[in-house]
Amino acid sequence: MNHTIEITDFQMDALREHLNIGMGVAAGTLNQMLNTRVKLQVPEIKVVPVKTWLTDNVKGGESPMSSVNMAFRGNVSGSSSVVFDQDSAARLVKLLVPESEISTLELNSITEATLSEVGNIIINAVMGSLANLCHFSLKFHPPFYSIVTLRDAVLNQNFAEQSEESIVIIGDTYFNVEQEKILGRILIVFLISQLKDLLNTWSEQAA
Amino acid sequence: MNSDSKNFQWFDCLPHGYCVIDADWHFVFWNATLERWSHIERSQILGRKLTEVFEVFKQTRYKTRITQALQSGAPTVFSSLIHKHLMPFPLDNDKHQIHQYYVTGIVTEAGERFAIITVEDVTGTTELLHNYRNICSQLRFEEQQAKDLAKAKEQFFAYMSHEIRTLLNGIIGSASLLQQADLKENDREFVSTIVGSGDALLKIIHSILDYTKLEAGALDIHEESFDLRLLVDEVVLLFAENARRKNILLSNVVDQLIPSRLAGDSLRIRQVLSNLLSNAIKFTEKGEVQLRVSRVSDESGSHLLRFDVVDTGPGIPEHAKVQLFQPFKQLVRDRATGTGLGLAISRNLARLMGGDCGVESSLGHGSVFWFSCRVQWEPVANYPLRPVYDQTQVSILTKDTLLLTRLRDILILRGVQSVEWADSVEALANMTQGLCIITEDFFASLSKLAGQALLKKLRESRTSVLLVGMQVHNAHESETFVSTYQLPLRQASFYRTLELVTAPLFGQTTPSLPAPAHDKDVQQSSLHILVADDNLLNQKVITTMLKRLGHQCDVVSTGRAAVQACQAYDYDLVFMDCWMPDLDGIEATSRIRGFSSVTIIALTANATPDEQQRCFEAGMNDFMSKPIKMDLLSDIVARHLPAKKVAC
Repeated sequence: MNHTIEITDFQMDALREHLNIGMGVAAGTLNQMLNTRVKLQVPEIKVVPVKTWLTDNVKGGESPMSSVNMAFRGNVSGSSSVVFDQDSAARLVKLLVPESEISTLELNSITEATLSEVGNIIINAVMGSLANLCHFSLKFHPPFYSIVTLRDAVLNQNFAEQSEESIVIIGDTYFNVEQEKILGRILIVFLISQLKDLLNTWSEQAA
Repeated sequence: MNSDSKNFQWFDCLPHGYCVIDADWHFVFWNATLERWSHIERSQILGRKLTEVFEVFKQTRYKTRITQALQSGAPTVFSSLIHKHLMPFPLDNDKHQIHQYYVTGIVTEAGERFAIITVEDVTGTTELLHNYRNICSQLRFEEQQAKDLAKAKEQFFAYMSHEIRTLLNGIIGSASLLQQADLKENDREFVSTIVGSGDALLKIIHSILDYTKLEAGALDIHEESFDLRLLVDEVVLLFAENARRKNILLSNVVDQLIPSRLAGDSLRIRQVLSNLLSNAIKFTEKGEVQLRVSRVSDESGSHLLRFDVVDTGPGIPEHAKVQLFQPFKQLVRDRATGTGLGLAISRNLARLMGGDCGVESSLGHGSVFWFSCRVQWEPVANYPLRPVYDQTQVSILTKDTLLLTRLRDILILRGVQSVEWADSVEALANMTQGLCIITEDFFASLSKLAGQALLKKLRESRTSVLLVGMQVHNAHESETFVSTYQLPLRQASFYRTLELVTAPLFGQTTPSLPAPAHDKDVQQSSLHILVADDNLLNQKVITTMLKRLGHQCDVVSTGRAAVQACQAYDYDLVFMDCWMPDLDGIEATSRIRGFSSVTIIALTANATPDEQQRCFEAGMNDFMSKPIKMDLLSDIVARHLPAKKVAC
């Protein structure tokens, strides 16, 4: 199995564009939901084989993160996560739901559900955008909230058996809410072979 | 129930609420849990549209996401914090259940699309978390408050310690030097009071710094023999100037049945009395403050004394009394110059001494702050109970009825009868030979000629005169038959004065003073000493003492100047204040150690073990706590005499 992949600038731009389209949809939904001006951006993305990423991040990525994960199956299989560090997670919930009155130390099942909803909206929108574009059919598992390290978020248990052959799309995600910018990350893990098919689909469409 | 409904009947077995809508949003299933929660029976809801039963779903934000869930099958979460009551199911307490919703789209084999709505009741969890959060917030608030308070106290104590010790150094040092000068008897008494009071104050400051120990119940009571009447006099004298400034009559009276020699913690009694008197004078604008000491009860070999501080101040409203004994509380902020600890400390100390502390007061009728404590009667030297002036007729010339009352009270306790006159002519015509007490206000009301005539006639009739007032000191020193007594009216002191005045008056001389205590120290070899201290009064005190010990002093006011001086001269000793502007003593010492091994002795008003440690770590050789005492200074200089000087 070839565990490497070459992505052209065009494909990279297309991937970033589709992620941002999905983010735009997610932002619209959040705006409607919360009556709050929310802007979501994914200015930069990296596409890295999971194995490489794990090697490069042997000592990094050990801080506990709030993660909302949704596994998906269909034409492509993998999982998608939205992760925040604990402080950012608390700030985000506080900004989105001011009456929640939480602090970093008070993430609990209720506020975790709020984060789950936010992650759910983003993942549904982003993955829906990708699926629509590629005419893929995806079935999602319900969102799953957990506190994990970034390494574990990448090396998702649902997908562990295939991690050697997987690739991760990592996008820094900026939430602009009420003049405040909060950094999160979206992680989408695919099988490399499936990403190749996906990229080929775009190339064909472009051609 | 239609056929669709039958397909979902197994949802009846689950504890959560489940309902199913078809692609047109009509209910096709409503499980038993939802029936129980909503009181809507399945038969009433099946076939109706979701938006018809729960209108909130008409909103775009829900329409969009549920439509998406129906079409794509992507699970969709509606969290409780954001949505709460999309399906408002009532509770018994007029509130509604709090829900979390999950909408999942499914497609049957026949290609029909449905959305399963899972309704999770999180009311209990939410309330539990809400309560938990409230408790946590409260605990954090209280913890922070406790930390803030502890920190504020610590800083306050450290600051107060330093400030008070610095000032006391000036007071006690100056007074100690003054004690060695030739003084008249009266002046010597005042200087002794300053030194005695300063020492007592210093001890009290140590106690205040141990306030946390008191709160923790770790403060001990030290029983020792003391003279109650002397103590009471001394405490009252402490407040003479305050009372004089406000023209308040300050006096004390001790029950004749209480012996003078007692065993108890005199320091703590003095501390509590000082606090109560200080408050009383602070809040009294006219009239008087009187300290009364009485015996309450005897029990198992000990005696309960009660000290009443009676004032004619404004009184205290009932609701404010409870706050009085709480630490850091002060009723009148604009006059709140104290620490706010006084009454709390007083009550704790009184209780430690087997008594209590309280207040009796009502608005407009003054206050009585009292405290009680247990003491032991000393077996010897009981106070003489017999009247000693029973044959003496005392005339009192005064216009001050309040002072007259207190004088009469105090005289009668010793069996002295008094006759009062408000008019000098009438008094001269009728008074018999003996003692005549003239109050300051009476004398001031006379013209100069009338005053002189009065004194002349009294001298001719061989009547001893005692002039009593707040500022009578030395006023009539040319008249040798006129004695003076300066208020406050201290019982024991007044009796001593009466004894002196009624004795033959002429020919007495002032007792000679003892030689300075440290003349021997002047024999020490003369050293060249540098004193680094930013406080002018402290500079003056220590240099005067050192010069008196025969040494030569240079003085600087900053740490930087001390370093420069040590570079310029080869000093025998350096006294280094720790807290100085520009460069503190610690830093200055470190720098001096870079080029000199001169003996450096720390001078500090912050006498904590930590401070000592800092001094030694910086390279200082010894440590001297302010206020500076002559004997201690002499000892420490002797201890660090350079070898060459000792050899001389």
